[in-house]
Amino acid sequence: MKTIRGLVAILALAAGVLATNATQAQPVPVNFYAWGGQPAINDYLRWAERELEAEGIALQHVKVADIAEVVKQLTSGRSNADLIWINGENFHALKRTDALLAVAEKVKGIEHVRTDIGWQIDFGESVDGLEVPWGIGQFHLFMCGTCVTQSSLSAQQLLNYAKANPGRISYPRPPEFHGTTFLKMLALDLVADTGVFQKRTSAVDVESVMRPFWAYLEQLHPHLWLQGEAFPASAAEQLNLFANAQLHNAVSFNPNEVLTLANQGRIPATSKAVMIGDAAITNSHYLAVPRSAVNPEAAIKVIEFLLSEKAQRKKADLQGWGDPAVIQQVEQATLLPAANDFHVTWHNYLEKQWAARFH
Amino acid sequence: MGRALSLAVIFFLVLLPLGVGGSTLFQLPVFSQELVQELLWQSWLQSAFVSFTFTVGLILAVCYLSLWLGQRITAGLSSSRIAPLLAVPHAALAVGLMVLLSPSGWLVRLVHSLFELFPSPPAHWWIADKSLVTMAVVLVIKEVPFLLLMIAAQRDQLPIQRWQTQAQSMGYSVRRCWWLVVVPALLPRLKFPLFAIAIYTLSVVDIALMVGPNTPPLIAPRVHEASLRFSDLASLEAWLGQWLMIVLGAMLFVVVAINQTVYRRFGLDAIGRPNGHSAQRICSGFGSQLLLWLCGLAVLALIVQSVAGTWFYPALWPQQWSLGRWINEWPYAWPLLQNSLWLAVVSAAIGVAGALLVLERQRSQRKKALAWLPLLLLLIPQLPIVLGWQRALGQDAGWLWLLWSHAAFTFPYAYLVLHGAYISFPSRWLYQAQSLGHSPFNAWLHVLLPQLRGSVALAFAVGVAVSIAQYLPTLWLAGVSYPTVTTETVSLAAGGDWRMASVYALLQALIPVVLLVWASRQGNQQRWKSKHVRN
Repeated sequence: MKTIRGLVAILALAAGVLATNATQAQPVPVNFYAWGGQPAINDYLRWAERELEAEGIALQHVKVADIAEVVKQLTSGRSNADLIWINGENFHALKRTDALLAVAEKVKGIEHVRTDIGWQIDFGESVDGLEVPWGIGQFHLFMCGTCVTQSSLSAQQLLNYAKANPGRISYPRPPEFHGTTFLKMLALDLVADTGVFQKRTSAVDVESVMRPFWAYLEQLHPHLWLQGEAFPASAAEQLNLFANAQLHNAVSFNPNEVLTLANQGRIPATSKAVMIGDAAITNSHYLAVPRSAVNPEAAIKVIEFLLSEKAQRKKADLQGWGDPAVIQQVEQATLLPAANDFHVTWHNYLEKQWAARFH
Repeated sequence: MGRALSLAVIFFLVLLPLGVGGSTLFQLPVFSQELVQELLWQSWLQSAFVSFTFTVGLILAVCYLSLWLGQRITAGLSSSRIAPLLAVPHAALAVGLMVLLSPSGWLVRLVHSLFELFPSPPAHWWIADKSLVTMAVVLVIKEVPFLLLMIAAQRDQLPIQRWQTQAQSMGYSVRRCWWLVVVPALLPRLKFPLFAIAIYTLSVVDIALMVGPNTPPLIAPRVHEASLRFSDLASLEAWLGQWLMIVLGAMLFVVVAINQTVYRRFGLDAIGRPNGHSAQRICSGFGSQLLLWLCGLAVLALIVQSVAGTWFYPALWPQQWSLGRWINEWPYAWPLLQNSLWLAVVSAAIGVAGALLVLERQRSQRKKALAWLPLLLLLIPQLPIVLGWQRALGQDAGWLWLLWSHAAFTFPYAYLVLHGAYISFPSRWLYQAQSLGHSPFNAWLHVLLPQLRGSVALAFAVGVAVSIAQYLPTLWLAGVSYPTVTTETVSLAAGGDWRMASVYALLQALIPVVLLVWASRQGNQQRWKSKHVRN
């Protein structure tokens, strides 16, 4: 009987908790769906939540493991997102289904956004004001300090390195976007006429253009981690393998990340950023407001705050997130030489062909 | 009354979830000749084949390993020591085990610190970071405790003591009696628990992503990946993949069903031959100890990680320690913990109440076998069902639906755990109480329920563990209003910083561990008392 009484007591307690949860009054809520994988980014958003309270906005960071979960809901289901953090394929899917509000022209301060980062094009697709840039991504590798001396490797040098150090190089398994971008970087270095990558694949003789690329991968794979029979599922997983010295390389989109992660004690301080070829594929990551948002005005206010000098400076702080600022007022320390991203049709081509060849 | 209530339980916790969730399975995606040609048939079939054979191998391993270890539960290893193993979240367990066993894990570091053999982590190691072997190790450690609990629950229904006395009087050892008499009687009773394990193995996504092979991936992570992409091809793949998984599920059911026949046919002959049984006993004792130790060390690994500053290969211990993470996160973690707690407690209570109603009905109808209907939701892959719930109910469906979605999973587990003890409860005690003038309900409340206290407590605790572990239903039905420690853990795990994710994984394990230890102590007291009464 004691057990039953114990159970009743626990139930009563739970009901109490439930009741207190239900009676809290709130200012204008903005549900911000964003990847929640990095404590430094989560901390930054907690700071933003505190700052926005003064403006009567209750920003809530709804952490997701993959933003595609929410994009899926927006395109084919129901969602209560007011603000989302996206780019690339996820943006394309939302644009195609007309799920986004044209917010760029309504955002005060949009004129301060840097003009040299090409944010009007997201993975080959025109942005059309449907999203606003928040930060900059530049694809590169981390390598251990003692592994290489130079700050960039050609595809051929990478192959030589893999041959000399079998099982120590890898990349995230496409269609994970770091993995697909790794393939693009190699293609940029291996294909003579890189202009083709800005065109649709249907306008190019893909087969013959890409022959050296696929031949290269066939050569590379046996020397990769686990003989190329398995790949890290994500950039994060590869980062852990890198931190534990199982791999000699990791991949990243944040040009400051080698510093911030070393500051956080996540990777050895001797790690260095290394480019593939002579330029880094550069793109932006964006904020967008879905058509179905309940509080679009408040969401736009949040965007304005996140684009403010204060918020952008804080975001670029190397002791925290360290994501490069997108506004002109914040002077930029180190951006890598930039290469344009491929037309989106190449994305699909690479993913499909990779799966067909290496599954 | 009893009939109406038990039908209501079945309707709300089984048929409604299936009806609402199953609808997506019948919505045809865009379909064209061109798309069909683009499908990588061969590679999908390969995924399906590998998943199927892997699952078959795994359930057989789990089944016979548990039965082998199960001999000892009667004597030494009590359910109080198995129970906490159930509480460790499976993704956290996978990470903990990788910290122990991976090529850069503790074991290798220890060897290196003693013999300086591995200045850098070995490129070839028996447990690669991603392989079927690694995945099998994680799943076996996670699933054996569950099946052991099921064996313990079902065993109480069998007159094992009498069989053993008889067998011994005929010159058979206890061990041979176990394999020749008890196991054949147990196997049919373990059919549904085994099948639930099979479906879980087939449809588990997070563990497969973390430690499974991926060229090609197993079927579940592949369907998951396709369902999160947007092309027509991906939708078609996701839809076909879901059906493929259901077909594989049906095939697994056949495998589990013929398992007992095959055992009777061929297994018994092999066991008939006598061999040294004392060595075997020592081994099975060692086996269960190993299980406990691995689990314990995995949890220790998580604790160390949660307070680690930097910790790089080949350091045996973190180079810096820091309590900062626990202190800074606590104010953020506390509301999540509250959400997890009330959801788990209330949904487990609903699950147990539902199971009691259904079992009472079953007892009054004198149906002893495990029924398949209450277990239906465990026997179908979760992803399409939850996707269907989300479409029907929308984001932020409110706490009632959230609770419902959790109860739909706590109910079948509570039914599995309670079934053995409930069905074997001697009805004559109830009749006696009634003949003394008590109403049937009073007899049930004052005679049956106190006697089954241990089982009820265990079912409740398992329900809590099940509810705590729910990620997709929680995020998709009420991610904004009711984030839990689990939604937080999973999203943090996506970033791979396990120093932070460990904090949340440990918090996630905390509630069910406490409850399971409490519950299994209830069980021990009960056993002790009943022994006392018998004497």
